[in-house]
Amino acid sequence: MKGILKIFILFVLVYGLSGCRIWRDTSYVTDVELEIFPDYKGVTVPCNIAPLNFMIEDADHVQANFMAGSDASFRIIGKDGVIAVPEKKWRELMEDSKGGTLSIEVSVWSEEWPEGVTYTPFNIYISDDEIDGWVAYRLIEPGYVGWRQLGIYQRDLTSFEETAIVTNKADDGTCLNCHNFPAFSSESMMFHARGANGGTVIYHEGKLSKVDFGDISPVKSTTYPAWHPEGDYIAYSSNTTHQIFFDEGRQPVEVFDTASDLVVYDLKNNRLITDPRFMTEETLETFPSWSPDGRYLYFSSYASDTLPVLFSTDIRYDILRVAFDPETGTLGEKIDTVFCAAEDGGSASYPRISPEGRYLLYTWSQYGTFPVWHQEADLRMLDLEEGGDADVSLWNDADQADSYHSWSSDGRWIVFGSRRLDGRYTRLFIAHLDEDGNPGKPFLLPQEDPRHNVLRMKSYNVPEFIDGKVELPREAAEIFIPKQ
Amino acid sequence: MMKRLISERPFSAYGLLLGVATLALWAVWFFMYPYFMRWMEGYSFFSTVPDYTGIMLDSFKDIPQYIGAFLLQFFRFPVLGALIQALVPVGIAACAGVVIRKIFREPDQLLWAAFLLLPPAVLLQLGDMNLSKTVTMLLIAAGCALAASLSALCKRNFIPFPGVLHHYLLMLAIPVVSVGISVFMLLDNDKLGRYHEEVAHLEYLGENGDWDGILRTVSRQDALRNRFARRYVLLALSETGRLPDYAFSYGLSDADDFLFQHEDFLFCRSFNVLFYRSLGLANPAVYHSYHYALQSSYGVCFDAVRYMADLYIGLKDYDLARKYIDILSHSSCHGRWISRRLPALDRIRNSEPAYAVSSDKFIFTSFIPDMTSLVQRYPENRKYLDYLLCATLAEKDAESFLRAFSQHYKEEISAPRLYQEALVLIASQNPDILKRFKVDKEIWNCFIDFTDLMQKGRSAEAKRKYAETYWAYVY
Repeated sequence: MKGILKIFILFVLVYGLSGCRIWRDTSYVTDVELEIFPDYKGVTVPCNIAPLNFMIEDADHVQANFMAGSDASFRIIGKDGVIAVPEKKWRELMEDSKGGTLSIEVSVWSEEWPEGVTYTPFNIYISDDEIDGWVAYRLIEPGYVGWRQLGIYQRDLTSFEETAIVTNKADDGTCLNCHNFPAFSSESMMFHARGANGGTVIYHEGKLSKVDFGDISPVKSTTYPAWHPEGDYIAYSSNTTHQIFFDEGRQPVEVFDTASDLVVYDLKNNRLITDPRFMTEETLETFPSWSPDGRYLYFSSYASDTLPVLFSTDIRYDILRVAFDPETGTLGEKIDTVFCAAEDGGSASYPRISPEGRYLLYTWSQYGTFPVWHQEADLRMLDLEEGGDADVSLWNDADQADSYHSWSSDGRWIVFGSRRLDGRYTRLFIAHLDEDGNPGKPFLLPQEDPRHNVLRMKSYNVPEFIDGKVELPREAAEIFIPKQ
Repeated sequence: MMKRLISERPFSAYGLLLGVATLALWAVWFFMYPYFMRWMEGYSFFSTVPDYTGIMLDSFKDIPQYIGAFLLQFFRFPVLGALIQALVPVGIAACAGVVIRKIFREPDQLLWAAFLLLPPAVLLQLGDMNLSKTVTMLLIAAGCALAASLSALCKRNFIPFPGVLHHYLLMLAIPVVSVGISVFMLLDNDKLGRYHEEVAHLEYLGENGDWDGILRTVSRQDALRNRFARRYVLLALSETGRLPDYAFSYGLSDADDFLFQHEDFLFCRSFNVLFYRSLGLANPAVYHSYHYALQSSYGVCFDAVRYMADLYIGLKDYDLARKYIDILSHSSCHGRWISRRLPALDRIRNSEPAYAVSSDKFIFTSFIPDMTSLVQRYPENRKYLDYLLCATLAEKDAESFLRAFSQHYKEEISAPRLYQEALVLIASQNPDILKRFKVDKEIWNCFIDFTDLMQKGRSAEAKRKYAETYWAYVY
């Protein structure tokens, strides 16, 4: 009797501890397309990316067969509807599948399929192109004018590690924004701290400093940065920004500038370089961005005789560029128009040149300068060599804003913010661009638990690829705390 | 009997007195502050989602606030909230009792001393809205009790105490006085106060759509004294269609009396959410929900998340409604709340979001222009029109009133009382008005009586007799 009891207890323990996670055979096969979250079907991913864990909603039991080519590589039995691949197994699989296809066959048991169903396998394309190891971004509530806890964070793209670079925990009255790095370097970083003891915090060549531009120039403050690839200059726009709120409609807010100028900060000499052409009231210049060789400064621009106006849907930004001489810190005579809003339609924000200099990626919206609140906002790309548009419509969502974007250091990947999940909370998507300029389907930043993408209560802002983990001195989190 | 119990079984007496203290404190919290405790829950936030834990538990010193946030979830049920509020100071006293028993000689005769910590612990609770201070004190007390227990393993009951303090009267008097002081502090405190309880009660009624309850609760004096009561009662009048009859009975004196346009104190944002929800304007309601959340020390709060879940269900925005419900499902006390909404959530699963067509109108400028814009867009919406007309009357802006009124009221329609009173008043300067609009004979007679009294210099009597009229407000 005791023996039977022991066997029974052992069985219950083994069965219980295993959580009933036993590989099962299904009774049905279907060619209905499987719905997974995140949608990793048919995406192209870098071979060093973190595991693409995914989930099936309302599944009682789920299991997945990962196959590299035609060989069964390994099987994963899901828990709570989530297929989570151990990092080591994933790493080996990525190594084996590099340059090829990973096929995943998923079987689901649910209310609809109590006997289980096996779906037609879906593919993930594993690119040879590695992605930069880290991406930096800000996490903030997607509210309007307020904040509480916010910070600039970094994520290891090859794993699930996320760490804070700097947060406002020491003083939640301070807003931190507009982080930037020179040429993907994690050795240098800048960000603005807005608050009673705010300023622009710069960590460069091992030194931490806080700059108050009002002390060194008539320009009171700076906004959007672009760190020169050689590290000695940071171009800024200096914006006077306003918000208006719509009482109805899906777009709740419009953000716009009534003034914005361009300046260049000379780090070595602690001086602000201004050019009268870019300091006029009649022209708004914003979103500076350097060409990879640092010889051109691109920016968005809107000119009108009627400025400053409060707000108008007629405000449409061009993309212009001006030459820059790093030796002298001077801007060239000639100003080229790269995108002409009047001819091409819409408004262009965030011009970003690909590292090899061939493409200019920007965010298009119908009007204005703050596309993240515009549902129609999409990524668009100009082919600077061939001329004309390069088709990247695959990267865009038809209904929701696709916005701030950055190139990887090799130009094969972009990371961008999109509100396609729910229309409000910006999430990061990564997309491939092959050497022939063909875009791949974008994929959501992988998370250990896919539900984290939904449950995260903050939006991602300003994603920037970096070549390693940023380690700021501890004082960086205290330098902006108001003095008592 | 008490003397015998204390003399023969002092530890049992101590336990009994702790129980009495718990019951007394529980009763005060439960009967005096039920709505404030509910509000405390709404203004707090706790979740097992990694983001929240990561931010909240950034360092060792965050632990009390984290524990406090966990406990605050149960304040949703005032019975449990009151129990927690009672148990925290009693727990501190109990920890002090452990210390006494471990380190003093003849400890059971000294257990009364543990009750000395009760009033300071209760004092600490007042205004401690995230419970971090009280949890800190409880943790310190528990740490001391643990340290005393550990030290007792080596050496126990080693501190002598003067024999005079071992008197049964002390064992009775000190706990009774301590409990009495604690209860008195709870009943008579400025930080927590009846004021907050009153407002929290109105907020509760408003959230549950009990507009008649608000009208029953708020008197004219309350509305004059308490700006929250004034706004809630005006909102209730609007919801019940009685605004154009009684707006000036509750101290309306400014267009800004309808909501908190320029104030950002506690309770203001949550009122604004209700106000805009009542107007059917989701965008400003979401805006104020976000700001309400940001006021909370957690950067998010249950009330705001619940508001937004409901708002997005109303907008048939499945993704966002589902998000907020998923977030709430990672807390401890929302099971029933969620299950009540799941059918509605399921119904909108495949719906197109029902956002109104984007307007080119902006809001949050000032009340009258906002309402004018809404009335132009929705001329059939009675609420908007009443707000606009009452606001112009409050501002004594006869021209704007007449302009809006004449656009929406035809001469054959009998207008609500306040509007007729305003027409009569305007007619005293411009008699032609009465050819265009109908005024009840009774109102006209009252006005004649009112002006008669005023002309005779009996203005006080006139205002008393016609206290609820627009004329009394103007003069």
